[in-house]
Amino acid sequence: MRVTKSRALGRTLSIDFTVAVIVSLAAIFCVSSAAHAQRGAITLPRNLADLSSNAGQIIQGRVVSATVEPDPRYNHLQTLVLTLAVDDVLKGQAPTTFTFREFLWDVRDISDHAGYHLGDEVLLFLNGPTPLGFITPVGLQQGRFRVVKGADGQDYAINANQNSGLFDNVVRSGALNAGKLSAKSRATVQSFQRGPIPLTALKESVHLLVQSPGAVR
Amino acid sequence: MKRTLLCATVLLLSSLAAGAGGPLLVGSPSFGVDGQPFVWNNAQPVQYRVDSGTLGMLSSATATADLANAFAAWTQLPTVALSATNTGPILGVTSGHVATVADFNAVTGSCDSGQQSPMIFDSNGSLFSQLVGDASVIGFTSPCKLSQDGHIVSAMSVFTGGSNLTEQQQDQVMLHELGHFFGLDHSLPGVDPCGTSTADIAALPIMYFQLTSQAGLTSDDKAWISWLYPSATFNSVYGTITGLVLFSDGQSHVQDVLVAAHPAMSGTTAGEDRSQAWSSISGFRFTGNPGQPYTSNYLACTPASACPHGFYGNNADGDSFGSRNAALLGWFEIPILAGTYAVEASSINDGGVIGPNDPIIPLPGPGEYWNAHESATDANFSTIDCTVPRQIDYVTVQAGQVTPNINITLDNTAPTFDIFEGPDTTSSGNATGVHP
Repeated sequence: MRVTKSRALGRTLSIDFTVAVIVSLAAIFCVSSAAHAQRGAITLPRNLADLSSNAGQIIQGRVVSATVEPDPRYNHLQTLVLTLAVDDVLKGQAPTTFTFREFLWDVRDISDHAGYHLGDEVLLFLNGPTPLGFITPVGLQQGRFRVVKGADGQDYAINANQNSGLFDNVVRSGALNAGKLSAKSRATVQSFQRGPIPLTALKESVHLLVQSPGAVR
Repeated sequence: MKRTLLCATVLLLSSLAAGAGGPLLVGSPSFGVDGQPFVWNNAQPVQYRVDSGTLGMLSSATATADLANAFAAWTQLPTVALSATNTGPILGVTSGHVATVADFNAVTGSCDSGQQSPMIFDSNGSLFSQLVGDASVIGFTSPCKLSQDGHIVSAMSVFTGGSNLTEQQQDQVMLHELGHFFGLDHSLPGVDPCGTSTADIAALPIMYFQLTSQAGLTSDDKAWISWLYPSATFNSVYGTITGLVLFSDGQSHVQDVLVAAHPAMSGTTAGEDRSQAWSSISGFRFTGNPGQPYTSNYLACTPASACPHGFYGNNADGDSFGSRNAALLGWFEIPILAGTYAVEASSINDGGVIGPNDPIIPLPGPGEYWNAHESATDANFSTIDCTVPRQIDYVTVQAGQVTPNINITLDNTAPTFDIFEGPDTTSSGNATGVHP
């Protein structure tokens, strides 16, 4: 990558340094950016209890590849083939390198790999595979979180709804016993409205929800 | 121009998509009409075909009639020049019903070729369960074929009968999906600085990304469909608010800001009627990804055909959609009824994926109302006192007129995008650039 000078910024920065700056800027810039999603759909709202109970797998990982190709059985159906290097499994099972296929319908998603990019760190609440083997995040964009580094050095998670509605009725309904969370996560959850959420608070909550089968909205 | 470059580089890491708060797809210099929305050719009726199956609890006849009503709700607005015709059952499947995934595959192929625009009734939800497998997804739509001259040639909508929706809810889904079918993106009514109220809920458009209690088209839905397909009466009903959203330097454009207008309501604490809203996304005509050449040969992919030009990092082309005219980067326009309005800028903080960027770009400063003396140090949402009447400068709109230069300078943003840049003095980065 160390090839030329960056003329774009009018500086004599090497590409390596430029990329480092860009990555840093992107991390800051996108700290509260949402995750990507399938577009052109209408959905029903899903809170964190719904996401956790409906998901067959909850996986944190890094995007290793994201390609769009026709389904091998149905050539007019476009699909996303996503491969993750798995960092953590919060529910279900997954190998260290996990590949799944998702059906795409939206022309924009087909043109941009549904917004997934190499190196993205994601936390996915995945439905179980359909009879055709397709896997979709629960609630589409609602169950698809980007993990980004905040200015404070913490990891944050955010979905395309800016996490709006994520904790609606979750604590009040008793689905999540906030008393079992760490003090820091409990404070986060109890005051949460929308925006990036510390990954630790989200994962703690998910662990509790997964351990409490029969959670209700 | 610097913002454009930075967007290109940042978006390499974050986004390829384009879309808009109003129109679903906007043309680029290489595809469609640069900066203009993709629309149906309304010189002739839009022809669609309807699945002959049932839809959940709805009989075929009822579902077809409800669909016709949903088409009519969009097309029979007096300010809209658009018509749609049911030309019969879906072609290429037994009895005109898409019953299997093989049927769906065949019909998708014929839609992609421009042969037909199908309205598919997934009678018992079996298609959704095989393709999506998520009960929260209750309908989807996409254009199938777009023409080089900026038209939607064919599109498809798919409705599920497997989610136990009531007829009224199914009608709402139909209205929403037909909005996409005609070329509208999701939309939002604005963000109340004093917390979401029942009035804000009432303003949620049918093009909100989730099912709500909204039963029909709202003011925002009607305005945008009229803007896409204006009839001869459009200019006697609607005016337009236009402007730029700017960083605190007062020059550099900000994309992806939700700009909303609500009718003035003097004598109240809020000073506005939030039960009605019209909104736009700044930069909706601009691309979400202009492209960049610096990583064109970064990380070869296998097979090479799986990536643009054979490399994961290749983003030389940028997005297929959206203008590259830098003067449009922070540009917004709101088609709106004649009247007097409060205009606000806020972050897209709820509403799924909306606007030109995916993921969205958060507001780089606090939200605020427009005022006649815009500056980087004026009042904003971070200091608003919700217990006293708000100080709002209203914007007056006359039918058939453009109310221009409602430029909003955000507060407390970085003076330049990064520490390596000097002041932006290029004409393309200046707020006085050429606008459409």
